[in-house]
Amino acid sequence: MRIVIFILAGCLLSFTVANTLYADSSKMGSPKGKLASYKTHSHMQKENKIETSAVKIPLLWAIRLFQKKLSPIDGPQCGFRPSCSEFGRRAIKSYGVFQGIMMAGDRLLRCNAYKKPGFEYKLINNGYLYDPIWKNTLTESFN
Amino acid sequence: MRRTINFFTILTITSMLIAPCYAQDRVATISEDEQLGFADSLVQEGEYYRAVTEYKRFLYFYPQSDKRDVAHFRIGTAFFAGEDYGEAVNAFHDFRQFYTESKYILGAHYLEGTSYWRLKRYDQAQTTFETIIDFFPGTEDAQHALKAMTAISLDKGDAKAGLKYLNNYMKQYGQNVEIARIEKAKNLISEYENAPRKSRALAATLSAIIPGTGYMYAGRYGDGWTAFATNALFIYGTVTAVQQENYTTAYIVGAFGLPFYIGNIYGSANAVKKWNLGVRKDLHDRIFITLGFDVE
Repeated sequence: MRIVIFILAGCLLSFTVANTLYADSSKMGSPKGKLASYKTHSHMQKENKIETSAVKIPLLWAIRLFQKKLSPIDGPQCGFRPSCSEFGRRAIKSYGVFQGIMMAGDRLLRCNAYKKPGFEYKLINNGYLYDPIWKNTLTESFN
Repeated sequence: MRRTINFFTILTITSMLIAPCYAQDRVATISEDEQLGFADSLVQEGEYYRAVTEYKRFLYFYPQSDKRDVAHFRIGTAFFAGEDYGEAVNAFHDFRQFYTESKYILGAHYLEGTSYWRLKRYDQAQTTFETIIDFFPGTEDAQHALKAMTAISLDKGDAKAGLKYLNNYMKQYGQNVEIARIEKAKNLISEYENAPRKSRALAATLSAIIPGTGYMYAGRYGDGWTAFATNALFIYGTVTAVQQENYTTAYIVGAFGLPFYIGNIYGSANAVKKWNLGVRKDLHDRIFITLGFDVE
């Protein structure tokens, strides 16, 4: 009887360890399918980089804190996708602190009752408006 | 009982051994046309990759067929229809190497050029279309190629070159029924070249002086009023705190307000950029529709 319990406990332990390891490796692995194509964008590559800048880290940490602790209190309120906080986080990561803050400030001002779908914002699932960061750089290009 | 079980076991094993021998005599044979027809039906159902496999099966099983060029060409069209333009380019390129005398050679050229265009490899697309114009003059594909060259020039931001190709079209195919549309496209390109533009620097300056006015200059009144009200509140809060010598509050309110102020300046320039793009995009799409191309 003891042997059976011992084997079962061993199986359970190895299952848990394997599951944890698999979960970690799947998080760290390269993106597959549709995500793989996003990886080709240079700004996405920058976003995936581990941050080392002493100026960026506290700002990004503050945005993360807002996203994890404050934002869930009243649920999703932003009508854009990515949301304003996510937009700010990505902008700071990709374009640096100064331009990132400017872009985030602009986005917060545009996130008002007057936004509507059209040339600037594409309507996507659940009525959100798509407004990616690359569309808000000052480079004039259709693509 | 045991005898019965043994009997049925032997019977089952024997029938399993005999069945394949019997089936071997009844191998289903598919004709060339049936194989091609099956692949075509998969294309019609939108199963492009399976269709490619079936076309390749055709090429493997009927190496002497006189319809090999059809199958090879349709591999390219299946990739093209499935929007896998990289593979389509390879397929059409191979086709052009193998079947120089095929009646599909012109179509392969045109679709290869279009695939390059969709991949935004504009120079290669233009080289391919130029080949059609130079080597197959007078054909319908050469006419389409001239129109495609115009559209690619626009995508590259060179409206003047686009106008040049349309002039060539009018010179070569002046009697064509489509000439009225080409004339209309020419007028639209001239309009595109002289499209009104607003100044980003002016918008940014306006917003720096009075927050929100840059957005209004770009025609976005809602955003302008929001920027004005938000910045006015932060500026008022900071100034009041300074007047009351409450410098800590002034610092905090000012620090929170600063991103909105610089964001309003940046956003005004961004709004003008989008306004300029919007005007040009509208004209760009109208030119494409006039020339008979799809717009995104």
